[in-house]
Amino acid sequence: MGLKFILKETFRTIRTSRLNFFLSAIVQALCLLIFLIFLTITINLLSLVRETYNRIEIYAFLKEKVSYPEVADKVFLIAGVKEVRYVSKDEALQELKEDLGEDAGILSDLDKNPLPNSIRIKLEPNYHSAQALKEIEKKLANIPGIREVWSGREVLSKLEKLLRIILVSDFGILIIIGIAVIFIIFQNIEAIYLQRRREIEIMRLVGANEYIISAPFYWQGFLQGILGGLLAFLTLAILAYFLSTTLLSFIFPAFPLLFLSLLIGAVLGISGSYTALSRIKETAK
Amino acid sequence: MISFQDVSKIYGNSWVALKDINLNINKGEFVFIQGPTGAGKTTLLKLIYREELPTKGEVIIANRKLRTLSSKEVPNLRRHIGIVFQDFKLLLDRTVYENLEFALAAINFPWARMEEVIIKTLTQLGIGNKLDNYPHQLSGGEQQKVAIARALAKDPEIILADEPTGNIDPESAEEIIKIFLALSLQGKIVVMATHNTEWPKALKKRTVKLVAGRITEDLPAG
Repeated sequence: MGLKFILKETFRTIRTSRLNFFLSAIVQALCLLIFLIFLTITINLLSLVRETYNRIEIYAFLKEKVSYPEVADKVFLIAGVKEVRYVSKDEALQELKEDLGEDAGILSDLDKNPLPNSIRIKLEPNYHSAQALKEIEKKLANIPGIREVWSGREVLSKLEKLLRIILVSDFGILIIIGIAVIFIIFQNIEAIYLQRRREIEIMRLVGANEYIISAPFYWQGFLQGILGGLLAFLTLAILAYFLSTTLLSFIFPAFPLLFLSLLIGAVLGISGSYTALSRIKETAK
Repeated sequence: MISFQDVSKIYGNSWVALKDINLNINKGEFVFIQGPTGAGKTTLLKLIYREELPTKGEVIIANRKLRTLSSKEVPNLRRHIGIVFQDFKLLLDRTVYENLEFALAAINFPWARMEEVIIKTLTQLGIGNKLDNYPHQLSGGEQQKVAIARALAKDPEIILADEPTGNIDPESAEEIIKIFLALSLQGKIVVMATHNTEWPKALKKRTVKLVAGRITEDLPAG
């Protein structure tokens, strides 16, 4: 209803207050950029955690003279165990030599192989968290014949803690930035409303309904939000490009980030307009 | 068509703008609301286009009590009323054509008919050649004609004019009054608020005299 008029008035207002419009969009873009940077760090950290999960392998070292079949059945009974592989002490020594590479010579001084027989356990994907690992470790340690269990859980636990902190920070930053962006758009829309009060007065007098009067302000907030979101994404993309070519490679999901940036920009833009119009109406009462 | 029944309007707790107003205005009538500054003329007009609600009594237009109109229904009422002000209320950064286009487009007037209606209205008022002029390029009288054209383009049944000749020279004022008289002959209600005492006498039109918010005289036409 009245879309042609609404768009015409929206673009006319943007044209007449273009400096305000673009400056607000740039400030908004800078705010969104901070959020997008944190989000990209989170995405990469998530990927690192996922990769770590996939590499998880529990080492259960067997007591002397205990054979693999004696413990295998009991290990398979533990929920979450996906795959069990027996590694004899000779194979373990060989692995160690390979890992040490050129330094493997230090092992030649040993009189006998000090490494125990062991089993390596891979887990189902649902059992990859540090908490799940801890429980499985406990169950393995209770199996007679198993001397010691090791999973590298401590590192994973720290990584998970870091991820939680980053996720909470993301959320906090989104709230702070959201409030800041709404405030920027709110101020801009309020200023434009005052600038356009003659137009609004005339519209009311001739019989325009509230939708027609308010819609250009919502469109303007929306367009400003979209522009801010687009600028933030483009800046991030340029930063990502330079970082990936000069420093390190990392994950940069361009389309989801673009979509999210535009969506957040638009939602904050419309919210800013809504807040400004609500306050103006409240003041007018 | 317009009816005031025991209407009073009090601002704040004590300032009485209108007191016990009873008034009926019929289709095709031309009525002067005459009185000094502060007599309540503008308030009376505001009650008609429901910018204000009465403190007491009822304002009825086309059998509809304005008090019962919801805020969503007010725009529809105003589409039937053309309002003209002393200060013209034109948009200074838009041409004459754009001023009219703005007012029509804001009420969803069909775009296909807009140009024809705008040109026809401006031509009838004798300013068809001023389409591309900005308000500051026009005389006071011409600016008021643009304001009248804006009010008339939507073809309202009621015209409210608040001191429409207050800011223009006597010659232009006469022209403006003639336009309003012609509109009433076309069947429109014209209510003109003025502090001028000469026009009502000279034109012999119905004159409602307001003093301190009260009707002191309601002189019929003729």
